Amino acid sequence: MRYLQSLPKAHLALWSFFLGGNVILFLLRLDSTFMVVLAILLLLLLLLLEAALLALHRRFVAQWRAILLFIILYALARWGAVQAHGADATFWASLAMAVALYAMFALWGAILALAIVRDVSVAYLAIFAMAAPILMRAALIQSGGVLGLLQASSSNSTFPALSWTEPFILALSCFPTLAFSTFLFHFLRLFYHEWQRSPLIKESNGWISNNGS
Amino acid sequence: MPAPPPPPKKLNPLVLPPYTAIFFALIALVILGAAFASFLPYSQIWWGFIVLPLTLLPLRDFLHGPDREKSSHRFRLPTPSEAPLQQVVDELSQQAGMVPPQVLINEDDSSLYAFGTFRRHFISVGANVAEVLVQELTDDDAEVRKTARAPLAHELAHIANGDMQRAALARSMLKMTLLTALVSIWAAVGFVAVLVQIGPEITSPGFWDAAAATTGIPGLSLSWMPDMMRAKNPYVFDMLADPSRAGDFWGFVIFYLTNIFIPFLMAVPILYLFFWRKLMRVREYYADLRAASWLGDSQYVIKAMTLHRLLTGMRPQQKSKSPLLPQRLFAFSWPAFVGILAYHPSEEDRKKALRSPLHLFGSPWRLAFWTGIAVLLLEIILRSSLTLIYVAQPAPYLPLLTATAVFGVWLLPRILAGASFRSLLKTGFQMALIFILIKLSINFVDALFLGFAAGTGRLGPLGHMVDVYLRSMLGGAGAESGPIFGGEFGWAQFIDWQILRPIAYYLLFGIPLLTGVLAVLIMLMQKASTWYRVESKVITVFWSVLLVLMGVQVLLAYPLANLLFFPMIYEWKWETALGLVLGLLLALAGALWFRQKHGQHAHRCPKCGEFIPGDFKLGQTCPHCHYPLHTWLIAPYLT
Repeated sequence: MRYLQSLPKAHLALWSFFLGGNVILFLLRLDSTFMVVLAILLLLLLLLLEAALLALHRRFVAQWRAILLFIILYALARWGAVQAHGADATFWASLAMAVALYAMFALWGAILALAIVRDVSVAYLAIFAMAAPILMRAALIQSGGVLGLLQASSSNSTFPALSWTEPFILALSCFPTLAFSTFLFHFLRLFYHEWQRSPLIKESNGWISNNGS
Repeated sequence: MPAPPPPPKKLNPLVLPPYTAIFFALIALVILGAAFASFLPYSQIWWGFIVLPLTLLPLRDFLHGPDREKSSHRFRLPTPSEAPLQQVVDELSQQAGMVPPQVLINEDDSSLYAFGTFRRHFISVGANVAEVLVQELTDDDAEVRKTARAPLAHELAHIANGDMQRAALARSMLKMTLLTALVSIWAAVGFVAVLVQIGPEITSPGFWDAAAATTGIPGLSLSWMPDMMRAKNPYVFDMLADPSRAGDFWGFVIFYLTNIFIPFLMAVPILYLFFWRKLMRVREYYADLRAASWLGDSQYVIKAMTLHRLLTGMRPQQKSKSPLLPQRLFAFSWPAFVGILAYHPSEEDRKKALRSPLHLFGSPWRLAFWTGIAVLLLEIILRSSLTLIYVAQPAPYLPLLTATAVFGVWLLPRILAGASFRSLLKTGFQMALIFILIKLSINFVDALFLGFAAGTGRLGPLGHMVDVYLRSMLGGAGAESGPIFGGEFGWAQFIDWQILRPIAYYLLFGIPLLTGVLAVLIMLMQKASTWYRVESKVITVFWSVLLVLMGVQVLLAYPLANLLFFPMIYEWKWETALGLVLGLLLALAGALWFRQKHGQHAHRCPKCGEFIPGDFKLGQTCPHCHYPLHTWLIAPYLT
């Protein structure tokens, strides 16, 4: 209780709305078009809330370890969804799929946040260039060729089988775009610091020691 | 008792073109020369793939330097008790007319070093070092205080000389070239593996229409794709279509990639181990000279060498900040490199350079050797898939122009120090000879290789290798049947174009031309050194003379020699005639300008205007009014 009291009210409010919204989403009976549209609108709202939560926790999100964590979370949730679907546990399958959806959104959010906060554009490009051929070849072998891959990607299955390449392809898909779009921004920022002769450690108030803590 | 004669005056290299710039320029020549060659006709690489990574990425890496340094060390601002460090740096900066760098206390180690970029400058002082330096800087004894200023002056001099920036930028260039090459190889091999995997499928009839059907777009037909792919490169298309030829395709691709990347992977370690470290060593001499100039006496700098050695040998107060994983992985305990691999010159050499600054320029044959190696590395890179034209043409422009500029800059201090024309010409000839022999070593290797193959009856397999090489250069386009090598282009042409003519060209034309150009430069600069009225503008005269000589070579000498030695490649055109006329006009205009200026300024005292006979000697005074001549050339410190 004391911990909850220590949290800022914005955190509590956002998390409450997010979790409450999800409970409502799962309680909705999708037996008419109206209810389906309502569920979709609620889901969109929840994704917006998730975006706000990611922004709130940006210090944690904008890290390589967060990207890795969300990849693992996505993979586990997708695996769980496929398993639950196979066991006809519809509720758990849907729940796991929702977690996978949020994890995917969080993964992209983390990749975006890291690209904005730190100059990782070249690292993104290098990782993409090095990992993309391996993943592409593995995906082609798994689906039996280019045609198989194209047909698999255009299928309408709700719970498609999980491949080990899927979470990584999901993450890598936005690497080049973000790399190219943030490279110039960070490059210009470097030039700005150069022009301004920015000090490495700012003197906040005369000779104030900053012992690196 | 008569007063002892004053010590002979020493040359001040700080007012001359810096020697470190030569090594920076040679590194840049190899890396950027290779990158910008992709703009040339027949280049097999789109320029964007090579120019952008080798220009933008090094610049980005260089500008990131200070932040990277901050992330790997625990820096803090000096405390009030350590304030004298920043005060001394501020005073010295003011004296040098530069923006003072920020002094940072480094909790991690006991070093003292300067780092930064073009406009962001920092001096890192280890916490232990700071403690001792502050004690000495606030000592009652003025001599102790002045000696303690010397290490800081030395670090500040690295910034003032621009060597810190040159070294960091060159390192970034080498680092990013290596990383780009490694990532590119990995990615290229990976994508080729994908291509081999899907080759039979995407070249099969019916695949593209089936693929179009998966899009769900009504009426979409992609049946034209196989024909388009085949027309683009039939050689590659046929190999991809046939799974049994996957091995051939891999061989073709590996040959192509090897041609592109191996020269880079070979050049970077050589440039890093020898050229960059030479730059690092030379910059120490310059920093010593600058520090001695600021402090007015080289004795303080010499004493500070001992102090610096003692200070940096101390243990850090606290445990180092835990480095990042890649830094930990590569944190080997490297052996202390010596000789041509060392980062720092020995104390003995540094003292010698302070006593006799010409020492820092090293021996002429070494410079000629390294310039030859740089040009050779560039040629090996350019022989690859980057550009075919350099394989077909002797390309004398870049090597000979590079040698002219580098040797000219190296000879200038000796000319101004008053060396005789005869000794300078001899040195120039030796440099030209060594340079050309190194440059030609690749042709000698070709000759040896061919001789060995002919002697052992292996000309057939060697011809096949050359054929695969040529095919990978041409991308296989239009070469479905029959070898490229062995038809119109065979061993006779290979020996003639690749061995005999280049060797004859450089030995019979290159050496005399280079020696001749250097002789003219030496002669003109010896004359210009008697223009006492123009003072330090003699350096501008040097650059003007050098540029005119290079221009005349490009417009006049090289085209004539090309027509003479390579008539099968070069033919007489109106552009050639225009170039010759322009070259003659440039030579004439340059000569007239020099003659006019020489008549105006030579042998005249800036003060009394009287005639001063003879050549210029360092430390010379006007025999009439005793006004000191070219004082800007004299090192402003005592020994």
